[in-house]
Amino acid sequence: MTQTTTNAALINFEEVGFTYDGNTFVLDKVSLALEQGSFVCILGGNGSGKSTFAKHINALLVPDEGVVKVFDADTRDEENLYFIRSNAGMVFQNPDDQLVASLIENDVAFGPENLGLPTAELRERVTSSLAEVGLQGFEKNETHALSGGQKQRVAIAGVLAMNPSILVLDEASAMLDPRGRKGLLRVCQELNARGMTIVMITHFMEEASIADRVVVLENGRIALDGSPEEVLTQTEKLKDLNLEVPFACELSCELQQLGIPVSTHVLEDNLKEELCQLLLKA
Amino acid sequence: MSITFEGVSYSYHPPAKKTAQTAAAKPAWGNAPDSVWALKDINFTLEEGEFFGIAGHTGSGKSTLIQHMNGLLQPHSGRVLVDGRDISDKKTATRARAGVGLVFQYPEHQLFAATVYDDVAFGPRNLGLGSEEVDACVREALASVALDFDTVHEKNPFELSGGQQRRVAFAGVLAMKPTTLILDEPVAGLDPAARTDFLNLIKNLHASGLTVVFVSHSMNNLARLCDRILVLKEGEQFMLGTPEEVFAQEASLKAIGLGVPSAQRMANSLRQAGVALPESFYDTARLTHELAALYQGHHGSQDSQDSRDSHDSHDHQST
Repeated sequence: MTQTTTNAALINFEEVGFTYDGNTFVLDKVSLALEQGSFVCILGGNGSGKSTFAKHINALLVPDEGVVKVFDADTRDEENLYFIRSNAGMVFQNPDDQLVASLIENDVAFGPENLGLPTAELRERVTSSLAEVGLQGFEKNETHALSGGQKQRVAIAGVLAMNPSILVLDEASAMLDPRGRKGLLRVCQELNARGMTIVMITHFMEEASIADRVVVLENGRIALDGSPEEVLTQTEKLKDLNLEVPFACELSCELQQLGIPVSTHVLEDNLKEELCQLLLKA
Repeated sequence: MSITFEGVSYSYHPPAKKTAQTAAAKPAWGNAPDSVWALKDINFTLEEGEFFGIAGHTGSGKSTLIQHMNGLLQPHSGRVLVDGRDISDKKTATRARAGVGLVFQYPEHQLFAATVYDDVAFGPRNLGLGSEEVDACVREALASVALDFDTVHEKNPFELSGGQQRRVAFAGVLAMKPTTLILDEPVAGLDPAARTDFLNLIKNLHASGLTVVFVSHSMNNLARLCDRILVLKEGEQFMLGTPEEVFAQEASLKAIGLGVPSAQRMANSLRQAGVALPESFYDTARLTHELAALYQGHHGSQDSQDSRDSHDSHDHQST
């Protein structure tokens, strides 16, 4: 079930090891190739190494062992830093930690302004980035008055204004209410549909179930890797890994135990359809 | 202790006094624009020993409401009664403060002391207890959040994991020996394992006799835990009832952007598609049971094993 490494890989982890204290390896020989344009969810309990993994993608951390390459650029080579960071943008957990300006347009412009872009281009990038996260017309609003979900979308707009090709979200929805979480997920889906590679670190199964690929980390190693259907239907294994099981999988399994012939579904709509077929045929 | 809300309204930007006086004939909340009111005409009684849920969107008034329960906020109209006595009375307010433990969202952000012991001991020390009594409080509080006293008491709280930090913050509130515990999104931001641990911890505290008020966005948790649920909408009391009564009204909840627990949602959508499920409250066990009964009715019980085997081989194929 492990996906084979292809040449088209955008982000390449080769036997990556990382330790904060010199003893415990938080990442332990992790090899993983993520393809351009994919939507990948990284799952795992606390301490599984998921955030450490995320920080390797834009060289906030560099491996102690092995190599991480983004677009074939080695993250350990300082000459590549600028290239890597402008290609891989990151959004973190706490909405209040990431905004740097008091007006939304200033915040979104912060990154590209530092690139020394001309004003007209700067304006255009701010406007289009805000539109992409569904906040068009919010340029003159104050950042402190936004909801948590809106703040996270401003943070994403700030990243988009740098024209990256990879967006890494490190539990960016953990502190949001259900509405904020849905909005964030929709923005990510839309960006992905237009070609952006999305790497989402999360605890939420509804986010994992819509990804192209789900990777589960455990103690710094890859425990599971595959499509949502392959990974999320392994209910016993997920419980062992201290992860939740999507409701549709849980219900499918319970029904199977009572002898009802349904497949194990990840998405509720698919389970519903199968149940209808089963129970409604004349 | 019981806490009664009688027509409680509250505003963070109260209308000018003059308006309130001239509006005697108008509703209690005067003629200020609706958006000004964080709470509007709230009426319910929190009974002793209850597990009481509060649901509603961000900005619906949940946090404002719980701050009325121990007198942190006083209503601009209406009354809050603690065991029948008005909380605007100083003595009653003091009693409410002592009896009601309020755990805010992300309570670990409020840890401040250099050791776990000092942090948990802060409240009891402020009550003027002697050092032996304080010590007993701290030990008991740490035990009730399942932290080992010897392992953690000398540690700096900031060296602990997020879940453990939150336990320490809980212990700090429990050390005041409240009879009512108000929890604002107590499991937000925790990983699934820590979430389960915490929910069990809260269940145990309730079983040991505490009244629990549980504010959450998670309809699954509210359905699983609560005796009654209050749903707020823009500061107003939108629904109040048992989980069965509240979650039977999926359409109304959806209209204000809230959902129902997963099993209920599945049951309702199957019924809408024509599956003969009775209208009722569903958890996973009930739904499984009803679907199994329907299936037996349709197919008889003999052939179920065969068709199950043929289906199993199709698992994991769809991508």
